[in-house]
Amino acid sequence: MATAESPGTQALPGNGGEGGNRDPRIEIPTVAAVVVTRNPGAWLEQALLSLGSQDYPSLAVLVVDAASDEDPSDRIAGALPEAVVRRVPHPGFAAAANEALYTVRNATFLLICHDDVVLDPGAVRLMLEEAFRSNAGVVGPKIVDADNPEVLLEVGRSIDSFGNPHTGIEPGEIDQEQHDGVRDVFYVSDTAMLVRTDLFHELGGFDASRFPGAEDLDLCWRARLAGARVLVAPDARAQHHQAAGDRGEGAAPDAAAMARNRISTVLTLSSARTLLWVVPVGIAGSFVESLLLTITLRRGRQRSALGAWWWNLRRFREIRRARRQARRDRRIEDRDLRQLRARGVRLRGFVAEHVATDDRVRSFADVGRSAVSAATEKTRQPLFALVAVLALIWVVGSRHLLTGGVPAVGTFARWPGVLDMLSTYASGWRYTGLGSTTAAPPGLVAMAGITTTVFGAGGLARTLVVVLAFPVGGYGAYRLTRGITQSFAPAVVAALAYALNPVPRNAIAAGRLGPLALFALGPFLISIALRYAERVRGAQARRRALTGLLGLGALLAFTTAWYPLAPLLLLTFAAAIMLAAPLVGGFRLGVRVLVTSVLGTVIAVLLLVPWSVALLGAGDDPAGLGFSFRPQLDLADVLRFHSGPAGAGWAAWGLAAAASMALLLGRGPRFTWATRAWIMAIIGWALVWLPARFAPDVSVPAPEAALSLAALGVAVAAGLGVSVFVEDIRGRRIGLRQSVAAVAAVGFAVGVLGFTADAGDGRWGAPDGDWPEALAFLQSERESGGFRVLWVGDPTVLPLDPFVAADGTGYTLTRNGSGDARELWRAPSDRADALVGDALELASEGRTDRLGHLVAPMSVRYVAMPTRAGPGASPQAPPAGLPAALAGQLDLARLGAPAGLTLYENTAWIPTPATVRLTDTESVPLGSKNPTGAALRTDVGGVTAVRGSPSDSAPTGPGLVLWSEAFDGDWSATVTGKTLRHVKPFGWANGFTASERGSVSINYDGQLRRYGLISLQVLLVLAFLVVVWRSTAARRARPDRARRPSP
Amino acid sequence: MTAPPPAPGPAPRRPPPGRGDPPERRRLPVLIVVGVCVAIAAAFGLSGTDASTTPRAGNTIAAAVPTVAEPDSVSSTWYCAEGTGSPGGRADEAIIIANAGKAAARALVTVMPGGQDEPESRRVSVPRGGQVRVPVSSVLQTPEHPDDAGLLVGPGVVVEVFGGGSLVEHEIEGESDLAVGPCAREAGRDWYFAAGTTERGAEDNAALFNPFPDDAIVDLTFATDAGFIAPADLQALVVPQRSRVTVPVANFVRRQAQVALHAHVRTGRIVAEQSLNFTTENETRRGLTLSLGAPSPESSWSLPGVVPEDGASHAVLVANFDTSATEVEIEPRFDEASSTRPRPVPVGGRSVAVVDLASLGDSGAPFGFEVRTTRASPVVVEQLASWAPPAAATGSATTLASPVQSRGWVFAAGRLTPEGDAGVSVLNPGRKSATVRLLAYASGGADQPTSVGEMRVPARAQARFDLVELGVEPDQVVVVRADAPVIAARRIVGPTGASLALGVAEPDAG
Repeated sequence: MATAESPGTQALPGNGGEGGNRDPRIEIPTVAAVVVTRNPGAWLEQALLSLGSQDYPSLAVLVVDAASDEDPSDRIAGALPEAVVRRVPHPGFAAAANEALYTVRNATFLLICHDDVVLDPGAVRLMLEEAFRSNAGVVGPKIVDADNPEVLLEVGRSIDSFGNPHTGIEPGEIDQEQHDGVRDVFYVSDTAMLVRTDLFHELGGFDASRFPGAEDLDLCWRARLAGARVLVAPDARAQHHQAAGDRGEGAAPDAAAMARNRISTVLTLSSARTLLWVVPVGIAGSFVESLLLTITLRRGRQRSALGAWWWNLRRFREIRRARRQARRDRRIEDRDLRQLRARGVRLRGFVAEHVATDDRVRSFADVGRSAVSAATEKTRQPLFALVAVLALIWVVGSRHLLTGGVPAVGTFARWPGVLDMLSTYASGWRYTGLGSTTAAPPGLVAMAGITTTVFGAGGLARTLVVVLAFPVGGYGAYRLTRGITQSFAPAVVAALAYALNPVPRNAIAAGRLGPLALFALGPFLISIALRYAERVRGAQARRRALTGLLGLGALLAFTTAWYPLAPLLLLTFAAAIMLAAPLVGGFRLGVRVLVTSVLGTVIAVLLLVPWSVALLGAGDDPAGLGFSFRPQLDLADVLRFHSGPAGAGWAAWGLAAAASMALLLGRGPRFTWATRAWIMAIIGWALVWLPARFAPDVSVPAPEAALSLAALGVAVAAGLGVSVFVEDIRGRRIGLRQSVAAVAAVGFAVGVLGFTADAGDGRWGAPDGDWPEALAFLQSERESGGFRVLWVGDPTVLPLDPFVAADGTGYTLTRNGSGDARELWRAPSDRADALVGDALELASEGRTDRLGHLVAPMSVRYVAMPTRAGPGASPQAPPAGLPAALAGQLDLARLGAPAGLTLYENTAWIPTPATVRLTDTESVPLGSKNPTGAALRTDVGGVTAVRGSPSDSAPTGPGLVLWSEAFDGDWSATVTGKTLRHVKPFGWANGFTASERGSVSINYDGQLRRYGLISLQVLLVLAFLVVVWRSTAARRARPDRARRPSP
Repeated sequence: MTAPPPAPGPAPRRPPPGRGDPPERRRLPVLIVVGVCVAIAAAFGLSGTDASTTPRAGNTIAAAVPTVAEPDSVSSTWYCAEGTGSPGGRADEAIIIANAGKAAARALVTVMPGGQDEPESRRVSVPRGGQVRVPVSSVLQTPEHPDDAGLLVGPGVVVEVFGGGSLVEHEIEGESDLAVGPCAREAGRDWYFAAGTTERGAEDNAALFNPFPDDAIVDLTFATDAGFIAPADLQALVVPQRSRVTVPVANFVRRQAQVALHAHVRTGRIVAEQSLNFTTENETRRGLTLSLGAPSPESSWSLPGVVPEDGASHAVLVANFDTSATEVEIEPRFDEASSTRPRPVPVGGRSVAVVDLASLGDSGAPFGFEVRTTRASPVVVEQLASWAPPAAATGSATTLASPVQSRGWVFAAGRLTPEGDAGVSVLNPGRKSATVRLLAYASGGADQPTSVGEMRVPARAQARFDLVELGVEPDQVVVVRADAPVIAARRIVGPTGASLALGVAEPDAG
């Protein structure tokens, strides 16, 4: 027997102790089981009984009570009278387990385990035998689920370079002995671990500061570094109740603290060379994770990933001290442990935790199992069958989009590479229209992010964004309605009614990315705003709900990045609740929603600085905000959501009929919300119809945007109808109510039929081609010099975000081709851009026949007038007089083009950059106050395109180098190192006088300013994340004051 | 073991307003509100739009006849199709640029010779209130020449005037006659002419001018005494970019007394003019005519300025390009209001009716006339006049009647001679009398025009200003202003020949 070395230690009684039945001729080592308990449940007795029934003869049991609310001594004595009980004031597992350092004096091994672990009878013996056989310092058993012993929980553990744990076992994985086999592992959890007592003493026991989350990792890692082996012996089995969260309020593990402690352990025990890359990569990865967490609003799972790093970096000195200590004890190098580590654990974990739709789901495999299980269980339910059928129709209806890609019509412009989008975002000069210093839109970053997630496949990313709008929007409607009704079936019906609505189909047909994004994300915005507004009563509640508000702001920022008018949706929703208040009450709720919306908008604006500031200053250019359309819709069209090819016929009437039931028959809250939903719908309809009816000459946003609100109102009302049927109708005698319900059901079915009918073409009415494809030859025209294409016509069929003249004629400028997503969310119009509109106006009114001359200095080589969004799309008449005006221009030569597109080549075109011969420079007007007149009267003589890159061209000159970007003082040019004189040709462009021949380098000198603004934006986002983290941490910490951590 | 009973808690709170059960009586107001919203919207939706669909008068005028460039125009472009650009040509052409705007204007006269030859331009300045005459040959001498298909290739002229208030006319001069008419403001896809003939001694030339940088493809068809003719050689006729092609109609339509022409452009746009050259072989007429085509048939046409005199003949030709027959009523308008009965004239499908105006003006007094269709098919109306001794001059003239009215008409005065007869006639087709003033800018140009004559024109009557009597000089720009919509036409008969022409309308005065 071991003897006590210190006065505080004591010899533990054991099965093999004096008075036991052990053979005195055989010296067997004593094992001291250290069971840490706190506020134990019924599982404690099971755990103790399992220890008592071990077949190992020399086992003593020490139960350390970590400050339970009630003294468990009596219960322990009842279950295992031989057990020694120590009560300590330390609340944590690690500190309590360290009691063994002072209490145990005669044991060779310590079996440290939780109080909710039930060991198989031979477990201790098997572990001990393996420890001797393999000369291991730490041995762990196979751990299975106590409730379902067939399910594996862990068979040893590993970590990745950032300390994220990995069991190698999929959730719910059945134990078929597939992991059996003794092997080295990085660490075993302290659920049950056999550790040599001398090693435990040498290591100083657990590092209490690593609890929760990393005390076992830390111990085993230090054991490893000290040269000890850590093994798992799967023949030894333990059943784990996983009762950490069942010990009273706040007993659940603190995820943030666990993340902090894991990173602390990594920072302490990793080698310096490893940390060189682990720290920056870990911080960057956590930053991305935090962004995604914020965007996906998984606040319940938000680990404040970035905050964990921040927390540790602030404790740099402590970490350094700990590293010094660890270095002293180190006997092996980091690389010797590399084989035991896992890779990509964090990514798998993130996907499992945040992409999966069910909180219980931890991996894709589990998603699959859950889905199969759910399908098996619910297939018989009609609602589930309906969802499945509609999902199938959705896939069928999207088949050509999924297989052939989304045509580049409207704002569905093609997405270039990730680097192209990011470099456009970082550029100090915005290459839209005639150029601008306005900040680039953050939507480009969003696109780049999404493209990155699909490994750079921009077309796939674009297709997914478009096609997934249906289910995403439907899920948003589900969440909103679920929050209102607290019931499943109404929420599902609302989701279906929303997804069935013609709005997204028409948005896809017309290529309206912003309204489509609003359709998809709008219900989430409203849901969060409503939830926040309903919770906020009193200062404390407000503080608690701060995270919700921040989430709203983040999601609103994300939505606004796609559609600048998104905040109006929330404001309109608030208005709907207030307008409904005289009828059903809830004015205060409306005010709270309004305040929430305003606050969320402020947060979104801050997160989108400086782009948002530029937009706020775009008052003179409402088209830049999306006010580009003059829809000619009559009342029936609006009510049927018939803003495009979808919605014709009776289908949309059916949805309205389905929505009417809750209004006609609902009672109580159902009636209240039905009223609000209908007011929402009416406002949405009115926002489209009133301008079309009373102000047809005023440009308004795309009708699908406001109709999204109406669609959501109709969908919620339809969902409430199900609730009404269940609560207010079912079980009553057959009568009028049942008839109304039948009509509603038929209406819903008609809506389904409409959806099904539109699925026939496989692309939801989108054209089967696009103009960039038809005009692919433009790509090769770049060799003749840089050029622009002027797209002119009805704004509804123009690509990208058109400018809109006073008469409603739209125009867009694209560069060196048909344009791509880099030219989306164009900069607000400035004076130079307005010159294009002036020229078109003059031509349309017959006041000039030299449009080509007017736009030649803008390097407009082609003028395209589409009368369809793309080949095969529905025709849209061009503005009156425009075709004749273009046909009457003396300098526009008509080219062959597919049906629906009239294409002209400008015979007066001036490339960009181009050099005007020295002898002809006098003919170029400089600094003209009347650029239009100057362009009209000027016949620039010898002009040659400057070959090569503008920043490093082929030799050119001498002469005047024309650079057709809007004049800005930060443009400069050099030839052989000499800075050229900067002039203002035609009163708006840039020109540089080159007195000698040489390679020209044209540069924009305002790039540093842009970098500064990007830094400001990053700081704002970081500040936002810190606030989110602090808010989340504070919210979790507040109730924790009243409790102690559980073991 | 049984669960402990729930601890007593606070009494359930009363549901907040709007979240609890509302009384059933609240349903009615909600339904009323929703119903009223829908009803109001439906009422407005059914009542139609308030937006006026009536086109502006100015637009209507501009679509039918050449109009003076708007005062705020940056530039206006005029297209002059017919004429030759070499001395001694069949129709030696000169461009007349008049400026009735508020500032001096600059003009660029570009002669497009067609073929491989490059256009040539000349810049001229036009003083405010003045006019400039530019012979085409002074810009570019380019003889007209036949091509392989027997068509004549010659110069077309584009005149760009930088500044508002301008108008451009051109005159073509033959062996013994002069013809004047306004150039076109717009190219078009259809052009119609009623007064053509390929009778003996008549050279009917249709000039098709494509000033644009891409080729135009044109179909020419004819309504004749012998019926509808669509010569194969004149179908899908290519008018090359920036060139003028003249079709000698007689080469394709032989010996027809009445030949109405329709030029339809399949691709592109053109400007079409027609000239008639009556040679000595012609039994009844001598001289040269010039008309700009009508862009479309109309149901109502008016023209003033018919002056019955010895040696003169006036005919109105009514062309129906539709396949179905129609009928028109022709009614004379004299200086005094009179109650004449309109004369019905049947016009067969795709044919031309000729009415001798002498039969309408038995009294010998000057008169104008109105032509209205009484059936659905619109028509094109053109006057053909000729003078021979004992009249003051020898020559011929054609002009389309006007389908529109305007409060203002502008003319370049033209070649006035003391011994000749020159006048501007004004027809008031309205039901109220109109006060009409004749204004003229000072010779050589001036800031403001001065009134040189004023008269009251009764309803449905016409009046005539005698330019020679009023002392108007040939280089003056003349403006007709009325307080009601009228039609104004100029008639010059003198030693240099005879010409008839509508004025150039002021659309903003319409």
